Amino acid sequence: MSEKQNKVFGDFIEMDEGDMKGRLSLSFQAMTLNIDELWEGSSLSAKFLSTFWGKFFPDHCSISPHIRKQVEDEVHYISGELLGNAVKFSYEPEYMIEICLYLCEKELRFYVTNSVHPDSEGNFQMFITKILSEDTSVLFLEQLEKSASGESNESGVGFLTMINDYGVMLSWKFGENARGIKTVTTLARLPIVRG
Amino acid sequence: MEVQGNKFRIAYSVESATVTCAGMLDMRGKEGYKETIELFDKVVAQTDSGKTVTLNVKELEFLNSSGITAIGGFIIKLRNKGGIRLLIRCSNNYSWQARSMTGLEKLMQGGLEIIFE
Repeated sequence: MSEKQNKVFGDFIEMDEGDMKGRLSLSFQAMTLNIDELWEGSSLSAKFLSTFWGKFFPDHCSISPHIRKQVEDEVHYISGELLGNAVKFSYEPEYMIEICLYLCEKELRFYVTNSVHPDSEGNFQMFITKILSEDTSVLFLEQLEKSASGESNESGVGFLTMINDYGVMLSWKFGENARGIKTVTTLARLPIVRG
Repeated sequence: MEVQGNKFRIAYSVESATVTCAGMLDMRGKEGYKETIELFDKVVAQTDSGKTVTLNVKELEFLNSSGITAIGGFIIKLRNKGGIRLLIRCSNNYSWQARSMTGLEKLMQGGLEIIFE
């Protein structure tokens, strides 16, 4: 993938940069299952990832505020939302949806890559610019009002809650592979204290 | 009134004016929450001004963003009807509840109380 084709939003860190303590990735072709099965698969993956990464944190600890159950809840929510978006927005059936979780000293990094439809890329990038530059608490409330009135289909609430409720830092890298398929990698960085 | 799936149960008791959500709510988008939203809409339609509705999520283990949007919509519709109070009963056992449920408070300022038990 040529660097010239990449467009980055936010503070994107490449996968292998930094002090990695562990890594786990899951990949599957978008075409292998129907949408309901894919959705169920991504829910199960999110649950599995949360249980796996929870083991790296103490079950009970008086010093660390990040006890295992809390990390499990966080990883479950963030993985579920990111995989859910990847499943919803993938359009190239053979392109792999991939989630890769890195455990670093001070953060958990979630990288999720999927194909993106050329016609929806521009709108997505406009939305990204909005959430990186505006008050996300206000955007969250606006989005719920729009959804309740039938104006919108709640798109973006997952990203907004990750930022507002979980203190996640989000960034994106758009590119194009050798076959001309448009791709996006979403990076969610969750601050952690392992105690 | 009740909506039930493999992993969740949502029920409305007319006697106690309480909606109880339990289990894991991780359905896909607005479409996945269609029956849930219909149940919420019926509760809004049946609730008169001056009444209090309780939303009990103490046994709700997981709620995705589409579920947050559905509950947000329920709060907005109760608010828009006017004169209705909402009490949300949360649990300290699930850390996501303190994070996500409190974010909904501003949708119904003055008329919404969230308690953790």
